[in-house]
Amino acid sequence: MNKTKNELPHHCEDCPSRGKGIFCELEAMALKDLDQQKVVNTYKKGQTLFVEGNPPYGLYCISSGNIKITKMSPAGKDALVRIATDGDVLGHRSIFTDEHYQATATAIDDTVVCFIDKSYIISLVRKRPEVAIQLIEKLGRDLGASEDKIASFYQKSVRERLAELLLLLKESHGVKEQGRWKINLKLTREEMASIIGTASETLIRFISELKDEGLIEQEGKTLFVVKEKELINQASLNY
Amino acid sequence: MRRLRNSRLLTDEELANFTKFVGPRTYHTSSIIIYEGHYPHVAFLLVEGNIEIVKRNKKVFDVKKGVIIGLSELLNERPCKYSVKINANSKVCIIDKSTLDKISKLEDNKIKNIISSSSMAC
Repeated sequence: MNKTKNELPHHCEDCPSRGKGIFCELEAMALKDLDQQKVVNTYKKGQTLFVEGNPPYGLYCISSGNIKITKMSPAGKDALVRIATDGDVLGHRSIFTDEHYQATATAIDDTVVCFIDKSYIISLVRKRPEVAIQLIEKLGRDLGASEDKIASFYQKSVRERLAELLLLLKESHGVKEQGRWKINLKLTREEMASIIGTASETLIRFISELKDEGLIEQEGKTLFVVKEKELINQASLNY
Repeated sequence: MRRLRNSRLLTDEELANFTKFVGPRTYHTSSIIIYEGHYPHVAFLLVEGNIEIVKRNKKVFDVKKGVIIGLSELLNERPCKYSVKINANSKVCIIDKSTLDKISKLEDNKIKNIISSSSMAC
């Protein structure tokens, strides 16, 4: 059973992702108004926020946890598009274009999500330019990430794409632990393979290579980034 | 377990009036629209197709056309005791908090009466 409303972070001021979201720059009064309007729920692993092909009716703001965004291929196979985490918003594109959802959002672990309805978001964007700017910035970052991903698929080898993915996961979910970075996200090898557009067998082979070269380590199913700079070289990144 | 029952069904005329106010949307994919224990984001008025009330992955009840589901939980900020599943190609009117605010400000009582008379708890 879901926690009672009082136990969940009902107030944006107390949100564990405070400072990361698109509403965080709103003044206290506007945040209180948002508190009245939003609905907070905890999604268990496997529960869906929305499903591809269905109509959008609001925006989802992740307070804590992780959501995977997947798209179904014509052959009925799920492809993992990206992972959304603390402070991310979902469903923003569909509410402005009024298209049906183009992907499915599913909780990877227990995830606290705030929902705000479409009419309220549209009126907020009209009244509050700071929210509009945050949304434009978010859309711009999303577009940039999509362009990078397309370029990566055309220009990079599977090994380079795997190194890039490990670095991205280190940035988003890395926890420094005894001089190495633990990737604190439970993704199956199939899901990782799907993100970089390869077969799980190929992914496993390249993980083994990177382990043999001492760039990464593995304990159980958990991966650790050990030599970040060398991994950056492997990924052919310039940062 | 609480006994579930459909509330008063809307007449075709009432349904037509309501769909003029809130345009119906089609769900192309079968999915859970409210999870057991969740506070509903919106309420749903079934216009066409099929909605099921589910408990522990088993269907316990069929919602009939012209019934609003999840409204009292949305208004009273209460969690739902059942999951609600919509089947593919069903049409619903999605009633969110902003729509309810708009309805409460209407001078004409027709829509208000529709809302108050055909809501089914989940």
